Amino acid sequence: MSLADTAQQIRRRDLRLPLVAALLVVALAAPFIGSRYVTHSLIIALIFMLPAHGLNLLVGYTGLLSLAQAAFFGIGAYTAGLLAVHYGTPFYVNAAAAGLLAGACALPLGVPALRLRATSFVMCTLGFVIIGQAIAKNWISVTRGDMGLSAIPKPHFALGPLSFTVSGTTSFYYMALAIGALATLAVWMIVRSPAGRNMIAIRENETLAESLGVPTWRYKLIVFIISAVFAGVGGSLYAHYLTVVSPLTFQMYYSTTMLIIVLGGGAGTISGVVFGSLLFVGLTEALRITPELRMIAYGLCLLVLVFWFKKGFAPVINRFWDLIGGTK
Amino acid sequence: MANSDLSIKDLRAGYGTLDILNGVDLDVPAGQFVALMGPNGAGKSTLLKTLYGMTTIKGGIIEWQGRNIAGYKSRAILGEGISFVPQGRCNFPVMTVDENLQMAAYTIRDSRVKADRDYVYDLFPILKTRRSTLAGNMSGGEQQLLEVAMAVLQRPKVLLVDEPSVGLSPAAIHIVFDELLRLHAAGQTILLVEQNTKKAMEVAERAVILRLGKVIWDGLPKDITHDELGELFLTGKMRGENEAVH
Repeated sequence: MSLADTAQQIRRRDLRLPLVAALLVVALAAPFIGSRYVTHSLIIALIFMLPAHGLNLLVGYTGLLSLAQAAFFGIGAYTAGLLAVHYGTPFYVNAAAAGLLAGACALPLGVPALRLRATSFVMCTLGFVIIGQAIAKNWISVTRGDMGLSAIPKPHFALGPLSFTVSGTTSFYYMALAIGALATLAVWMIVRSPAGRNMIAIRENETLAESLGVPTWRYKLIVFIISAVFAGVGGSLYAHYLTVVSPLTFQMYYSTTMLIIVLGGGAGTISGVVFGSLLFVGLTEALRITPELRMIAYGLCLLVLVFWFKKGFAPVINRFWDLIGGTK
Repeated sequence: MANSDLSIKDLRAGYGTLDILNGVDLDVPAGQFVALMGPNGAGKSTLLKTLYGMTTIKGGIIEWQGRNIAGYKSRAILGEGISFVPQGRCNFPVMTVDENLQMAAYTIRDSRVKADRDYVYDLFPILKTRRSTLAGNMSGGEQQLLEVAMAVLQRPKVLLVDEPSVGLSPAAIHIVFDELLRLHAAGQTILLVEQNTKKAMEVAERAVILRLGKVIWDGLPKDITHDELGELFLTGKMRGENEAVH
């Protein structure tokens, strides 16, 4: 057997399963490998991954650009915070309520806004964030205005006689990891279903999809609501992790961050969003120790993206995946 | 009149306030292959779009299966058995041929979808060999065939095809028209809009010429020469005739 044949055989070996296993081990062992600060950065990345997953369904799979994601994130954060502070409800109740209320708020926005053409729709979603922030600032009797909600308790679980509180950074990390994994699985199931194919059809050619009988408007509305639910649940995690919520949760910076995760990671791909969350949130969070370098590094990331990875990092991830799978 | 005949009477339509069709009269018996021709702006494509419910109808009747379907929405017209293959690329490029056909079968009940895809693959063997290829990676001719197949999958009684030759190589045009001929031989009623008059006259059994939103000539392709056709396009009249309407 020649050297080339051997090389060929080595290359053909499928390394995907070992890689996934290794990544899983790293993910599970992360709090013990890195410092507490690394764990904290990963938690922030996992929190932002939720609204980004939702936004990806909208932008990446259905082809609708929205800037409202920060508003739904904020609605979720305030809902969970208020429930926890005033009623001391368990975390899963707060998270579910946050998701449901964010989804419910998406309905009255989506019904008129989704009838508009692309740019007008984007402007509507932008307006929604601004209105959200104004309400958070001025509805003082409920939101405490600029003072924000503070002393939000750490996530608390109560099931019958069992009850425990996720108090430490490490345990919060595992909770966020589990929720992030569930969200990723949910997105995967949605895009693999016939509904996912119809979403892609709308993105690719809405007129054609409509003429083939796909109820495009109803699809867009449902995806818009689902994306808001993801953001709302993400917001509840955010409130319980930081224990503080202020009107700053409703900021355009968050919407753009979520958009950068999706577009930079690779719109219309799941791995892209996971990777994008780690890179654009995890990394920038980790770089907070050098505030001067942080924004420079962030800017460099975006420049690299714009010049060399126009479709985000997903194509690179896919090529690597094929490579280690031995298919190419 | 037989049930599957299409009868258009004094049809007036356009886009918003712009009138394009100024009283079109046309009967299409079941099973006929009609080529609609005419100069730019004559209203050929507009007539197809109007039949498929995509324009503003100002007046007239589209009689189909005993009902006036003028003003129906596209989806309802699809349900009535009329399919439309629009001009230009009109598929889902990032989906495979098979997935495109699945999308085209959206309104068909699930149990029948598979059988219908096999039926289409039998009609278009080229597509069968390409079933796992992304539509966007195929040649223009193959994509045009896919688009025709997507319309045929609905088992339409009438197939409206808008300029299938646009942007295709001569060889690809040949393949597309061959497939249209085969569909027609199997009994398909086809209403074709085509700029390539030579090709259209070869395949169609009836030629209808529109000018300024009206039918100005209607007859057998063999009854008109290319020179006469050119004259009609330019002036709306034939040599030695005052008015060319038959």
